This record gives sequence, C-alpha cells and structure tokens, in this order.
Amino acid sequence: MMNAEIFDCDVLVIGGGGAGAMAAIWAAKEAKQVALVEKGVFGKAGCTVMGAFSMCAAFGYADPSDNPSRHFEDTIRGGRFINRQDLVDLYTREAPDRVMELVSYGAHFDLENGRLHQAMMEGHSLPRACHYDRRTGPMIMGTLARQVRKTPAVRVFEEIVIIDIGMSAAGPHYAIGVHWADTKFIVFRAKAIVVTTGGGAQVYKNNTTSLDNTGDGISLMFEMGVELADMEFVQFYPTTVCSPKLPGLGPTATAFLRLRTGARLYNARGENFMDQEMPGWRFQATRDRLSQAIYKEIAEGRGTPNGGVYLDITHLPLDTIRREYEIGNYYKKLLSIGVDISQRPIETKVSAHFFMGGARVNERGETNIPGLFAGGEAVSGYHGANRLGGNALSEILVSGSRAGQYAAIWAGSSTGQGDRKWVNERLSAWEEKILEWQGRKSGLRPIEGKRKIQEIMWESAGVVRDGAKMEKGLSLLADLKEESKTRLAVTSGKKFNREILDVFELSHMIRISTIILRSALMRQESRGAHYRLDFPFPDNKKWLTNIVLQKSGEDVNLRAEKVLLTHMVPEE
Amino acid sequence: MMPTEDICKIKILRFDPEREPSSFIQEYEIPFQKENTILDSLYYIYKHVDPTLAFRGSCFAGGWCNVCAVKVNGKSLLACKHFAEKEMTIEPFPGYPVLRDLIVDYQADIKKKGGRS
Repeated sequence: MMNAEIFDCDVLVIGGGGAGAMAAIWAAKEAKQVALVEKGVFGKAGCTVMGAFSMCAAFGYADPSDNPSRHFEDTIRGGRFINRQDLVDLYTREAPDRVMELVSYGAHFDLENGRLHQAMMEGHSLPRACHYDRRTGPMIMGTLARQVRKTPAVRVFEEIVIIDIGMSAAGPHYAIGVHWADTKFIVFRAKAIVVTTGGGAQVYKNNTTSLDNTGDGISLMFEMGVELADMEFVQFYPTTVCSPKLPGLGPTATAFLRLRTGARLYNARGENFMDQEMPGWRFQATRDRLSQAIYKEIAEGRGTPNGGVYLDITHLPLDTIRREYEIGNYYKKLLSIGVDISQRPIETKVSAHFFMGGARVNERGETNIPGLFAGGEAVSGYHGANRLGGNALSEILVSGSRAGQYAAIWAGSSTGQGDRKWVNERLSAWEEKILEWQGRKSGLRPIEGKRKIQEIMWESAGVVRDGAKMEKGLSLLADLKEESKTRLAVTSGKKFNREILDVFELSHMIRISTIILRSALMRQESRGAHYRLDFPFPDNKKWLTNIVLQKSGEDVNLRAEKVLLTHMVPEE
Repeated sequence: MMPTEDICKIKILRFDPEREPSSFIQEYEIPFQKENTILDSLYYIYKHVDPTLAFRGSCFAGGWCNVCAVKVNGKSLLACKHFAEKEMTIEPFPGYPVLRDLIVDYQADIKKKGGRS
C-alpha cells in the first residue's frame, strides 16, 4: 500500500468519547482485535468529558414509583413523539444496567443512604439523574478510558483524523486516517466499523461543545450513502454562560442556578417572562421551550447588555446558597473569580448544544450499509425532536455498547478480501489534495471558512427559523462550498499543523450544515427544537414523521417517514 | 495604532524543527480583551495572526479536558482556566519532550516504562 502504515482489525471504532469507549469495550468481548481511533487525546477529547452533572437512569431509588416505562414516557413526550419508540424502549430499560456497569469499572457517584443519589431534571416526571460532584462527565470518561486501556484486545490510536471510509459488500472495509503529528496516512482494514464521532454543534457561532465536535462521522456516513434522520433538530441549551465568564465551571454552569434551587429568570425590564408563560417552569420547561422563550425576549429587545437574560438567586438566604452550592465547590469557585451569586444576578444566553439527528440505526446500531454501525450523538432516534436533560450520558452508554457488541458479531462472519484498489486511488487523491492546499500561497483559510459557517448557521438555522432565512443560508453555504473547491489555502508544515485538521473539518461542517437546512426547510411545522416563524405550530396530522436523507449523486434525497407509534400515541 | 493599555503582549517559546533546529521566542501583540482566557488568546493568534502556531485545546471551558496545560509567566496551569494578562510569556508544559511549539509528548513517561500507548 502506498506510503501508508496499515492496521488490521476485526472492529474499528471511530471516535473515542463515551459511546466509542463503550463500543470498544463491548466489541472486545467477541473480537480479537479492536482499534479505537480518536481525533484528539483519548479520555479527554470530545463532549462526554464536558457533561457537568446529570446521567438519567430509572433506578427508582429517589422515588420507588420510577421505572423504565416512566422514563420512556417522559423521553417520548419530551421528544414530541417523533423518537423511535423501539430504541427509546431499549434505552430506558438498559440504562440502569449500563450505569451499574460503569460502577463495576470503578465509577464514583454521589450517594444517598448507600445508593446512587438521583436528582430532578427538567422534563422528567421523577428524580432520576445520577451525578458526581458536577464532574460527572470527566468521571465517566476517565473510568471508561482506564477500562479501555485495561482491555488487551483494544489498541488506541490518538490524534488521528479519519478522512475517508470505503465499504465493500463482503468486507473488510477501509478507513483512511491522517496523523496530526506528522500528516502521514494510516489505513485501517476492518471487518466492521462503528462510528461514534458525536454531533456537530460547532457549526453554530454560539455553542457549548468541544472544538472537535464538527460532525465528521455524520458527514462521512452521509457521503457513503448512509441514511440520516431528524437532522433539523439541533438542541439549543437555554441557559449557558454569558456574562460574567466563568472559566472552570463549564459552558452550562449557569443552568445549575435554575435546576438546583430554582432561580428567578427575568429580562432587562425585570419581567419574569417564564412565570407568565409556564408557571412551574423550573422542571417543566424543557430545553426547547425555554430556549425559544429566552430567544424571543432577546430578539424583541428585552435582552441584557450582553445579549442574554438574567438568572438570579439573590432572594435566597445565604446559608441556603452556601449549602446547596457546596457541590462541586460551586459557590466558592465563583467567589474566587469575583462572582458572588448571593449578591448579583448572572447573565445567561442560548447556545447550540446537541444534535438529536444523525445516522438512522436499528436496535443493534446497524446503519443501512452492511458492516457499518453507529452509536452515541452520531445517531438519531433516541431523543426525537428534543432531548431531555441527563438523557445523553446514559444513552451513549446503551447505543455505544450495542453498536460495539453487534459489530463484533458481524466481524466474525466477514469473509471478503476488500477493495485495495479503492484505498490506493484515494490515498493518491488525498495526497494530491493536501499538496494543492499547501501549495496555494493565499486564498481561503479553513478557519475563515469555519467562521463563515458559524455565522451563516446562527442566522439561518438557529433557535428561530423561517423559510426565507433558510433559503438564504443554503445559498451562502453553496457559495462557500464552491469557494472551498478552488481557493482553500493551508499553511505549510506537516507537524501538528492545525490547519490540516481545520481543512477536513471545514468540509464536514459545510456538508452537515447544508443537510440541517435542507431538512429544516422540508419540515413545515414547529416541533421541539425546530421552531419556524412561518409555521409556528406543531401539525400532528401531517408531521408525525421523521425526515430521512440520503445522498443521491451530488444532491440529497429527502423523504418523510411516518413514526411508528408502537407503545405510546400523542395525547389529544 | 491601538492604545497600549488595550494591547496584550505575548511571548511564546516556539519549536518547529521543520523550519528551525532550535527553539526560539516569538512575540505577538493582540488586542487585550477583558475575560479572554489564555487559550482564547492562543486561538486568536492562530486565527488572526499566525496560522503556524501549534497548541492543544479541546473543551475551551476551564479544565474539563485538561489538554491545554502550559507554563505562563513561570506557572504551570490550564490555559482555558485563567484569564489572559497584559504581558505573558508562554512556554510548553514542563517535564515532557516538546514535539512542536506548545505541544508536548505527554506519553513520554508511559512509553519509557514500556507501557502501551
């Protein structure tokens, strides 16, 4: 094989966040050799480490009437009835087992009477969020990374970006990666592939995600002909850090004020707009409703000087604040950076947070392409039109473990020789492409392309959408795509060249942004996180459907498929 | 010209063996913005001044991923957890072999002990 190291494995897992780590651990129960490829530093990159607090599973510890059926009902209601009910059913049933699996690997949780403490989260009817000291994500990811390192069948590859995947009918399949350290190619030959690369909220100017969250896997799968669904549904987190900045506490730190003790939420005029719209909103207002309400205040000129609204707990007694915000040293950490939440309100804003859409998979994590599996935020179906708080960290465990397990079973039956010719052709093509980019002395820098996308998407596919804005967004994206074909310029140098990462990420961001807008234009109603001024109401007669997209030549095929209401139907 | 109080002067200890065999100090001047973290400043330089500057950064949120550890004005810290100062000298995190600019080989000690990467 030309100029490239090659690694043979039974299962290749692309993406080393929580879903990928689970996939690798579960694949290794069956498979002899598993490769886990991570774009950044394994155990640290991705969004799992950024999960601050909640991981929901219906143990029924806090309230014995809780059970997976209640969790199922909350998740479907929160998802506005377009979740895949078969997937939500298995997710809510298996979540407690997967959380206990983490405990068996050494995970810590905050306890109450010797059992996992369960906190209340918005949109859930009962308290079921497991947590650890406002460091739940780092704790989970640290635990999973240690477990992966302890698993002899798993080999971890770090700081490698996968740029191309080629599937052949009988396998094995190929994935081409580029080492960030030296821009050298590496080829993975695998009997089955699992994609767990997360979402792509980095396409929005305001976002809460890690820098690497650029939709690579969703974009690569789309290019290969994988069916995607629900791409119009992007979760906007209602209360993220705005002013003051709170380094060290995470982008969603301000949400703790409303969830932990209940905070007053008001606009620049001091109006408690949620109290009027939805009494009891603290736990009832899901992220879609709250984001849209806050965005409306700001859009109509009632926002704060820094473009947010206020969260305020100054009415609470100081000893209550001290006690309730002892967790994670929250109160004292804020004091140490000069922010006294007992004395002043905090400005908070709306930011892109999570993709509900992604690859269409079945309960085994299989896509429509044989041998290709996916899990975690890169798949659709679990969260419908709006994800409930705390459902991500537990869902990625369930969907990741399933994808890994079934990929390994699939790998056992793979017999083919693969398509070496494809690999050699693609390697030459990519080598030429990199030479072309680096040969251009001036032109479009990839980071400038990324900035343009973030502006375009925030304006055209943000919290509040309408047909005309989305059409304009699509046309701007098409211009950027054209420009990127002929004008991209990347600085020379092969060692840890950030522009090499950015240039690949840019192509994925253009692709997924286009897909989001195409889906959003097709859905002529408002539902969950998809809110359109020109179609402001949900329409259950016409739109209890999933929009399914698939690549067709240079274009996209879109079709609406009816949701199967197997367990639960919308209340009238 | 920017008024001097609005300028952030940053000296970075750089190492780029493809261009220059030994390390060197490079000075940058960027606008000083209140509440910008040190990592924000590095990213600003990459975006607007010098695309060849190499550093690690992922969460940008203050100590969740911990990959942006560097030494600033003599103190080891996470670049995303601290606000930028008006004058900073930024060096790679001490104790590890430098691969390029602010990027160190954090696995060096694991590899030395014969562990799996």
